[in-house]
Amino acid sequence: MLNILKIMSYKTFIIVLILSFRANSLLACWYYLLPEEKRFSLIKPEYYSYNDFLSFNYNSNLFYQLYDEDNLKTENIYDPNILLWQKKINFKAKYQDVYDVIYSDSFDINQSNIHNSFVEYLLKYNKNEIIEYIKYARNCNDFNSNYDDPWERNEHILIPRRGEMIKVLKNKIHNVKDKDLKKRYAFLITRLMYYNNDFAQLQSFYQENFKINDNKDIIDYWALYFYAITLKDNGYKNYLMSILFQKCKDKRLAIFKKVDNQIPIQNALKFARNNQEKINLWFLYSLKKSSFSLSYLEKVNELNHNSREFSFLLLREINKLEDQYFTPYFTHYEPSIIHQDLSYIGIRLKIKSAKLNANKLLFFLKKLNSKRLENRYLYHQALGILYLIADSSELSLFHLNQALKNKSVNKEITKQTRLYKTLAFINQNGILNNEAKINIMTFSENNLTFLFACAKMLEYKGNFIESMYLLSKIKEDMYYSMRSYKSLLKGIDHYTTNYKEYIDLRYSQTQIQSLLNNMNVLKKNKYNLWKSTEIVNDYTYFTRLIAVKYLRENNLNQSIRYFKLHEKIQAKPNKINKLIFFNNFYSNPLNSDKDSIHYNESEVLELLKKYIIKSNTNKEVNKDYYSFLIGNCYYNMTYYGRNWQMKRENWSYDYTFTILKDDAEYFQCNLAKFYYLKAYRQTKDKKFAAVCLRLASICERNKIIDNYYRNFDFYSEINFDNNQLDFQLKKKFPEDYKELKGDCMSFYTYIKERKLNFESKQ
Amino acid sequence: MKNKFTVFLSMVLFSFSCHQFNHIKVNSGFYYWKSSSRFFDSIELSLLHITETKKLYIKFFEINRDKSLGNIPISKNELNISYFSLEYDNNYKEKFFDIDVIPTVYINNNVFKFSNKVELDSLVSNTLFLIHKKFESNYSKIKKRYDEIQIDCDWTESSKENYFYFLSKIKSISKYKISTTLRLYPFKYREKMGVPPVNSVTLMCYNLISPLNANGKNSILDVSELKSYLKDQSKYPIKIDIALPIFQWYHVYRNNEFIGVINEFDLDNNKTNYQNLKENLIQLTNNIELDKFELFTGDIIKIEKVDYKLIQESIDIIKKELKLGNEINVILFHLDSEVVKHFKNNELQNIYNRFNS
Repeated sequence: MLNILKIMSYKTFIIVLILSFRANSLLACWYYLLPEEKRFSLIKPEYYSYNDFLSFNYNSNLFYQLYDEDNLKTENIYDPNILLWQKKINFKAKYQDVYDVIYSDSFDINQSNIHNSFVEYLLKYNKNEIIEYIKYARNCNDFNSNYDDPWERNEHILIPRRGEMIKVLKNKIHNVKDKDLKKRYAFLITRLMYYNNDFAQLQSFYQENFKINDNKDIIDYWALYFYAITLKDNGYKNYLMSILFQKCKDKRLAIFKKVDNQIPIQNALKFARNNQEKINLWFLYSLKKSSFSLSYLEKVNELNHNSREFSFLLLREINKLEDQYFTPYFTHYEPSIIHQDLSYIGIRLKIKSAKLNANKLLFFLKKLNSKRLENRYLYHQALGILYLIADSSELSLFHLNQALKNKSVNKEITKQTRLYKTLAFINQNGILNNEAKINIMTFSENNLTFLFACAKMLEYKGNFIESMYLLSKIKEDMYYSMRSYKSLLKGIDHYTTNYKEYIDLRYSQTQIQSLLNNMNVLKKNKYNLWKSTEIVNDYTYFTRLIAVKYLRENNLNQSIRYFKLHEKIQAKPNKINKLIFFNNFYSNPLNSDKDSIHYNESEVLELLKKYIIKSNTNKEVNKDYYSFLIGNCYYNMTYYGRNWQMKRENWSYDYTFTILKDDAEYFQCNLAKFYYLKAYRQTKDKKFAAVCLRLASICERNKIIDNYYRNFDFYSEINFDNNQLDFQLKKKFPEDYKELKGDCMSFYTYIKERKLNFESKQ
Repeated sequence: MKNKFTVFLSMVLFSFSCHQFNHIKVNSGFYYWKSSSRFFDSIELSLLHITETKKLYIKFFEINRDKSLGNIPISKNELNISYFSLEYDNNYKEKFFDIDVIPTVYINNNVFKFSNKVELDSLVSNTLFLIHKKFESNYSKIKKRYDEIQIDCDWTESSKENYFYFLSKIKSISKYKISTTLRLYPFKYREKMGVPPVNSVTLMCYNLISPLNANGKNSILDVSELKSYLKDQSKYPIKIDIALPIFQWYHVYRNNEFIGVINEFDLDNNKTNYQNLKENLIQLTNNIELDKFELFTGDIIKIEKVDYKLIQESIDIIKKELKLGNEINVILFHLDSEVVKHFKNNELQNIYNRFNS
């Protein structure tokens, strides 16, 4: 709220995320999709056997570097420090008990009657040195922060206190006999030196106390971490980080953050002693990249065909391509991560670029001998997905089937392959076979992404009826806000979370009629019952929608026909007030005696049709008044009228364009203007002519507003001075101009006489 | 320009409405939300004088949740009223010391999403401690010691229980009056979002539309949106005060796409880095690094402001739709010489007066 920078719920971080900016610099409010919410992904890497790299799965939370680590998945691993303690006492204490003693804030080792196997063991065997160490180490934990005293309860005391502690700890190193404890004390000193920003001392202390040997344990590596991050040689620092990344699984995210991939990899590679260390570096640099990284895969594969690192990087590239290709392909949203090089190109070019990358990866994979790879399943699965992107469904299905032959993999992985197999089948045939139907029924309930993709794929293949059935299953819980494909062509983003609105936007009345016809002859089998459960309840909505769509085209005959059909089957069809033929601006609000007259929608249109005939009949003495009534009716069916429901499902204060064919008419009131002008030309009543011209000028004004927003470009002002009808009004009716422009209520007095005259002749 | 349309539409929709209001006592107030300024500048101080500001809601600090440190204060306010410059009119200074300072604390919703009750108890204690300390060190010259604390949090359904627990605790332990901010969403959907257990709430009548969906409308304040939130609501169960915006912000467009909003952009110091396209619209001619992010050459920045007329219309809607008490605090967001320079002094004064016109 007040803090505008903080008002945003976490969803608003999208803006921040998009640009890799920090939250305190950018702001927005309201809700829109987070990158992770819109990212298309059917391949879930957590089900593969690379969970030691779980935090580094392709995901926007990692790359946008908010480092809101709550959003990152991390592997549940045993803490190596706790394991080391367990090992030291020959596993005589439970893991959790050791954990509590070492880490738990609420644990008090000084308390008597502690039921803890670790403490009990230490007491029983008089391990006083260990007890003393633990007490001191726990005390040191409070000093491991650069933010000394956030609540300002004890100001500026940490630095000298750390200095004192370092002195005490150095004494303890001398006094303690246990070598392991000596090392642990030395680590505590290293860490305290770091938080005291005493880097020079830290480096010399580290060199003296942590000699390089082959029997390093986690304490050595933790000390190495604090040593490495103080080094000025960034190449060497990156090299050490790549070693630590392999050795300290529990600290990988922290280590990852310290790697500076702006430093040329060659500066780090020169320190690598063997191929595995080179792989480690290529791997770590690759994790830092959000964009297509084929060259890194090639390097890692060149160094070792059979490495886990290669498999993980391949999995990651597949996730990237899912995002870069399928996210925009199915949803028309931008990919969740936009590489800077692509930030200025449109979605179509982004899709094209991703497809090219997919082809490059495909070309590379085809050259590999799958038998030599660490994960053959993934290899075939990846090829299946890449061939689908390449639009080679047959080869896609072949490789996905190859993958499915392996029955020993996790069933979740098998499921993901089946999801892609379904998409590949739809892409190949444009229809669903039994296997696809089963997959959709089985997996879509918990995977709306998949259901949405199937619906869109069917739509792209021209099977719009089946697509509409599947979309109806998503209902209001749409995984994605749908954005019409056509809307992109027109440059208008039209979002909807309502499948009925999507169908309205996307499909013609003929196509909707085909859907209804199909619903009428649908065979009763399990799949058909499943897919039609929701849509059958909306049957009458669609029958009316067809009539509405004809009305939008001003095809009154067809619209009347379909409204009548709808009214036959709808128990309570819409009722339209008689005032549709009168205008808000002049109808006497106190004259309510006739307001209770209501028509069916078909009756309104029949009346409208009748009035049009009369307005076109030369002999008709009231033709001017009929034209005027028609104008009112058309006006009332626009955004500005009281009967907008005749043409739209929703009305909003937001002046929101749609891609509907009659959008211009809806906002510009062109038909109303045509008939007001016609009435103006036809009438012999001067007052009546003046008000008709005024009403036409209001329509013209609406057109000016609409044109302005439709071509909104920041560069121009809205200009009502160009309203020619307003000029005309001023010129022809100078004495009435002010009154007609001033107050809409005055219109009634201008119409009154003509109205009475008309009614007297009825 | 969308505003013009909104105004037009609003006039059509509301022009026949009749308003009848009872006289209410209006206490003029400002939020002070800057963190880095150590003292008021002369414009800010004179404004407090001219508008006869009674209450100054000063953001003392914000609270965020840190992975390792838990709930910690950040963006602490550096303001210290002892630093009044000598050139200030003594009259202004003396008058200033009569103002009620209400310590205000913004708390990130994550604090309540992820804290347990023990942490919340500790948070209450720490918050009161730090407010007390800041007040004693920086505002000791204020004649009246604070008796109210305002908490600002954009809470959600999932954090409601913890947030309300915190509010109850801080109220019972401190014995101060506790007020909270209230966005329009929890105001309208009060059954779902709950009513905070406090003495009063300040309804924030702004930030109604996403800049993404603004569609040319003013995303800070739009009267039709405001009305849609306030219309047909029963009386809020606790006292309501009103917060209104007078700030501006900057929408950034890149490649014809809206990409975000920035709160601060120094137009004067960046004169060589942009060209004016038209009023309120500039295009960057150089890359600019702002704090920790970058704007690029070609980016278009739209400067979005709230003008006096728009605020007047909003006040009329608030008066018509809200059942206000006999005495309310009207608080403008926010006191900053850069922000308020877009208003004439009498306009700011009239904003408060309009609640009684």
